[in-house]
Amino acid sequence: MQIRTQQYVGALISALLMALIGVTLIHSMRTTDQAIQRSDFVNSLNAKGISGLRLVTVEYIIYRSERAKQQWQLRHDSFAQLLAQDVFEDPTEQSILENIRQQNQYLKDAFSALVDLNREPGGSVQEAALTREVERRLVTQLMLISQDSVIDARRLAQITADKIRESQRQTSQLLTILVGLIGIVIASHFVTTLNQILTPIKRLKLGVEAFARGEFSFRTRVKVNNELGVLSQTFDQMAERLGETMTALERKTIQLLETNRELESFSYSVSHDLRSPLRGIDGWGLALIEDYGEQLDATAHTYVERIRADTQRMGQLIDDLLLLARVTRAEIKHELVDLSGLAQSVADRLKSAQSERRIEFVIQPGLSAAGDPRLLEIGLTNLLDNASKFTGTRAEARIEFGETVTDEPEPGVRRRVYFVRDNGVGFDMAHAQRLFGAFQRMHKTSEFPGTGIGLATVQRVVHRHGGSVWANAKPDQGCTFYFTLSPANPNPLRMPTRVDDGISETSNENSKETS
Amino acid sequence: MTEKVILLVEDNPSDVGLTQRAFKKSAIHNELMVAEDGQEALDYLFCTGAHSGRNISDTPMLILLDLKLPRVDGLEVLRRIRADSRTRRIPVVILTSSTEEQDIASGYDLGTNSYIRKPVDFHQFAEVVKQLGLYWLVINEAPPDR
Repeated sequence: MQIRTQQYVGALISALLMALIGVTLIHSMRTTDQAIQRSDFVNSLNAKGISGLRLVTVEYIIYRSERAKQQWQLRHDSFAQLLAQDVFEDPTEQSILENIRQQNQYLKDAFSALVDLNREPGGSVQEAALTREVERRLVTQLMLISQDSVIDARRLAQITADKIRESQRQTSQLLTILVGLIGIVIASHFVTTLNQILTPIKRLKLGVEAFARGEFSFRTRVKVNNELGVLSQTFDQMAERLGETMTALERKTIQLLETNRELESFSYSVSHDLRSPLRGIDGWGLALIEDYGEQLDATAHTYVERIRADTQRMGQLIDDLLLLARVTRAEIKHELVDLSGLAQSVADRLKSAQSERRIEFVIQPGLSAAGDPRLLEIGLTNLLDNASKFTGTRAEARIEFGETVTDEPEPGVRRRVYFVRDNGVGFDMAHAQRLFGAFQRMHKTSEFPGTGIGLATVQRVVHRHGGSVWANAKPDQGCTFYFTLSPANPNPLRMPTRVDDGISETSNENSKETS
Repeated sequence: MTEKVILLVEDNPSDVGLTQRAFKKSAIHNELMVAEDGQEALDYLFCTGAHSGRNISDTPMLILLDLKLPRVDGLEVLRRIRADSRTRRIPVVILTSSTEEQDIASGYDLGTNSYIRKPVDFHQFAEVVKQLGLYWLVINEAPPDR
């Protein structure tokens, strides 16, 4: 049964029982009331009627006065009026009352006879004796009838009292039964609530708690035929599905971790094993020059030099790739990083490494950001290194690092971004799409050496921080790299959208190789 | 004073040759004892196996230790050297291709005296070896003989 139906039925039965109790109480009050009225009536029969009449009868017999006679008649009339009331429904009571009425009639007859006897004074002695005899009998009759009435009235009183008691007994019995029924209803309601509602809820609560702890093996296994049963069944199905999904996810995670470990050991091998032969090639090449240089001609010397140069390049490539891999898998920290200080130390390093060049570094002071200090150092080093490299042909190189507000690359969305600007050779924006890909280069190796991994590393660093990086350049007019270190603000400073000049756009038509 | 031995633990013959060449070029004349794997290095140091006849108190002056070695790896060799009171004081320089942070940290945790990455460029490598020899054989005050 549905909980709703259950509650309705319970409420209905309770209401019905309450109504029954109400009706019983009203009925009982009424019955008792009537019984008390009858009892009052019977009492007044005895007190006012029968006893009063007897008193006046005795008074008359003693004094034979006119006043006593009138008194008797008055009393008798009022008693007759009292008796005329039809208060009983029960035939026994009615017949007893009828008896009393009759006896009252007899009383009247006997009393009238007594009065008549006194009105005619007797002539002779025998007559007087006869009269006294008749009188004595009449008096006796009066007393007997009166006594009968008293007995009848008492019986009536007894019956009335019995009826009150009976009515009370019935009421209390009925009430006991009804209260018992209410008790049964409450108890069964409680048991039903316990079995059908509370126990399932308890199981569901345990299930939800297990979920909260991340245990998906818990099943409520509630088998009740109501809404909670449906809920529990759905819950169990959900747990089943979630458990399957979680297991699959765990398996995937383990696989991923395994792959990651393999990758790590791979990069370890790359770091260790690929470099060793290179060192050999370089070393023995040099040994060849040093030990047998005299036997080799100029061309042979050039070849050995080429071999050594390529070896160096290979070594650099391996180092750069390792760095890229490290940036990708390194655990990222979030600290407040002094970007200006970081840029300054990179600039100092670059300056001292190329002391023959004139490079002016303009670094905006006081810039800091939340991020990973080591990754950010790698990123900034690559950007400034790049700027230094591509200003190599400039008599006076100028490299800036700072912060600005721009609506690139999303027109209409103004954001605070960091930038690295140089006055170097720049590049054609037509090729900008490939700028951040690994091994992608914008210039000939003979002009500007490099592995083409630096900007890919920069992009990884920026992406790991949730930011983005893009560039703006023109051939021979320098280049600016912009980057952010956090996801785009959900409520950016909106500018009225304008038709953009397309500076940040790239066209695919003109994508010739530069190298 | 007899020139003490330098123990080179290195499995790559090319690297062994290059190191020998670099030592020669740097005019370091100590005998270069080569162990081609970790077990051989331990045998030499603790006078077991092929080296059972050797005097154990005749410790090398310097150990150049590669990390990636057959049989017993470099870090384990280092751990055993530091665990034994007879070899505890020998200067150990890890000379390896790896710059994995984990390796560097473990190396220092286990008590290496120095950690050097072999450069690809032989000129640089020769320079490193020269500096090494200068520092550990000349500048550095060796631990007292036991």
